[in-house]
Amino acid sequence: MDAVWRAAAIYFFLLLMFRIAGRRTLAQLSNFDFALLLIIGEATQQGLLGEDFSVTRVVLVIATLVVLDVGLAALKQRSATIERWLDGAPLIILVDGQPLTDRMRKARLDIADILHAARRDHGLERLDQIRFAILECNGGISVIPAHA
Amino acid sequence: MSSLTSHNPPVPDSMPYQRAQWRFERVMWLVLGALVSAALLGLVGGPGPLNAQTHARADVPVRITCQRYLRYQTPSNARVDFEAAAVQDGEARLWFDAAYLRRFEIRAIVPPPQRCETEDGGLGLVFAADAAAPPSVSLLLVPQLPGPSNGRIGVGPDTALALSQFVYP
Repeated sequence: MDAVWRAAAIYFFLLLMFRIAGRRTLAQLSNFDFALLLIIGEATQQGLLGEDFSVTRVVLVIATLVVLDVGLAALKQRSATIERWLDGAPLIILVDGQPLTDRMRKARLDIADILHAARRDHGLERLDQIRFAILECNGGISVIPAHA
Repeated sequence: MSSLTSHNPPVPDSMPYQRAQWRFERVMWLVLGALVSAALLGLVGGPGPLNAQTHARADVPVRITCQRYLRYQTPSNARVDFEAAAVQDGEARLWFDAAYLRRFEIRAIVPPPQRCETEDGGLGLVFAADAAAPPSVSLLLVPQLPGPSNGRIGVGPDTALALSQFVYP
């Protein structure tokens, strides 16, 4: 039982942490974020296994995590509300060249992030060349050019 | 921009959900900040200014210093200081009740006892001692069960201190 509740507790805790960290934290993997993910992995391992390194324990932990993952995926399919709270929803941050600054501030974005996505994906240079810019669930920014 | 409907956005613009999510994020950041602060103070186990506690009573000839908050299966140091009244015939006895022994593993004892005895379901450890210089004993204790722990430690079942601790899972 110990293996199951440890795995479940850590799974839901990590889910919560990455949800509240904000989408850009996952999309922009800087050196600091990469180091942080490595450390989280190491810390999680100790919490999952404790002092029991048996094959049985490892099997139980992995099985619990897979069951939780599949269970949540099934729940998301049945409920759009649950899916939205687990995965987030796209956020429009620019319309017809006009940045929605209040939304960008809350999402911790700036104009440079939008211009970077526009340059990278479409070779655009200015905001007025953009019809919509959308912050996706995975933290990436999608740009729809003005003359698409 | 209060509504984007007239611009025919390519995705639904669910601002009520977004605002609720941002509020939730901010609340959780405060909760995390409180958790980190509590950890620095020792309120979730480990060293910290609010975690050390000393138990003593006039009629019990030992003083026990230990942590109030511990973590499951994480070793914790405790110290037992004997008073001169606890030393009889060159020996000092430290007694743990059965409830305490069910919840804690005594992983190390320094100095090691001369012998062990059982009494009333509890465990007695007998140390060589000099009344002129009463000994201090260090214990390495490992919690075996999470949750509140109420046990008794002293020189015997009738002269023991009540220890109230909490073990985080």
